[in-house]
Amino acid sequence: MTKRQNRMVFVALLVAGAILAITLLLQALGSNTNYFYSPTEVAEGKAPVGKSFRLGGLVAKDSVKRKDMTVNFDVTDNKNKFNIEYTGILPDLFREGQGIITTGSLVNGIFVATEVLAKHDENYMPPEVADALEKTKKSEQ
Amino acid sequence: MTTLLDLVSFDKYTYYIWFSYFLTFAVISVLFFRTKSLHENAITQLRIKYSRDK
Amino acid sequence: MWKWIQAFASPQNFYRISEKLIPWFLYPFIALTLAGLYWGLVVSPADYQQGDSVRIMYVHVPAAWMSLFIYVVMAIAGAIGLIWQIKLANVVASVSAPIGAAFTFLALVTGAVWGKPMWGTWWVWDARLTSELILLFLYLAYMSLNNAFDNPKTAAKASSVLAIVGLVNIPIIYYSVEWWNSLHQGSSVSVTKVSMQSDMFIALMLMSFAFKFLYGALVLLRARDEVLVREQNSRWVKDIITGGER
Repeated sequence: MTKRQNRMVFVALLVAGAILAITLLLQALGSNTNYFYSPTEVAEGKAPVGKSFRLGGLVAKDSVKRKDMTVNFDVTDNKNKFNIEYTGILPDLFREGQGIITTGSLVNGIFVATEVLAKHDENYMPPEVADALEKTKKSEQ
Repeated sequence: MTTLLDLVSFDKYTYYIWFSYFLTFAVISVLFFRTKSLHENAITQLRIKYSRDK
Repeated sequence: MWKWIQAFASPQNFYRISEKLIPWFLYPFIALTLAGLYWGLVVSPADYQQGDSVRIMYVHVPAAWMSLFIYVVMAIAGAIGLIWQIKLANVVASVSAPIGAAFTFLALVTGAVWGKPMWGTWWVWDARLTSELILLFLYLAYMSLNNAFDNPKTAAKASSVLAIVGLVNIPIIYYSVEWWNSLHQGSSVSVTKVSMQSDMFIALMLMSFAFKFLYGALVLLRARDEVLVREQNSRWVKDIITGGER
């Protein structure tokens, strides 16, 4: 082998080694790298009990009830849902049907949240287009 | 005056938006000024070296 | 053939050609930036959910793309320098790092400024944000490693190895939003689909091409000076400096 081929092999080994190490690391971490649990995962008992964890899902339609600074709403993944109780300021993206991630813990079946974050999706459009899309969706039904 | 104000105001996000754009162009300016000073440093350094060599 | 490529990428040839190339990057950058600002701040409509804050995307997303793009360029240049020992490749890699770090910083800060009103927080430790922060640290580590050696050859070897190993972080950043549940949204623009209205997409594209040209111009400008310093014992460098010409 020439010196240059030697160096090529060295670089290839470097890349392969790095990929292998990271793959093993990610395998070991597994679902720990997930930022939040879905309502179904929580219902299956995958979420930590008695500890604070993050719950992510969609805000259920017609479930938001406000009383002073306290908000009550359901978070669903269309299979299971949990009732959330939160006191504080909600982010601007918070609305019914929106994906949210909330931190807190289960107290007697109610998820008492200390933080509510809104998740955005990858769709960008002006309000008129969104309205038009909504209308065609309804007329198709 | 209101038209000018309308042009630069973006609902409740005015400060967030202008901060982002000003920061972007501040960083770009810093990159250019740093490039210029690197150039001047290099030229001075080489001039000194060659005047010593003589 | 290698001899021919090495001759073509010789420092002296590069110095001569790059001078003519710089305006071809600088002027498109200025034109695209002005058009991008107009499209982003005036033409683009507000988003149906984000409202006007969508305008932050037109600097945030291109800066984030640049942070990945420059890293890939840096690692490939480093590998070329390592394998074929082309001096110019090492120069390109080393001058790219601070530019890449600046774009990574921009992506992180403008993202935080968008996240505060939209998500409700400046920062979360989700997969996308964390891996992008690691990218910033990779750039900084590369720069300090490059500066740690007096001998430019040793410095290039050590820092290129770091850049190549760090390359695994790039697909992690890109796919983090698909592989894990993250707060950060998925990609709106990919080769196969664009989930974005056309004026918004134009604003995004103008800014992203403006940044590409900016990077090109800065790399050329900085590489020219770096080449002069590294080749200071060559006859042609002495001629240029003592001739009083840039």
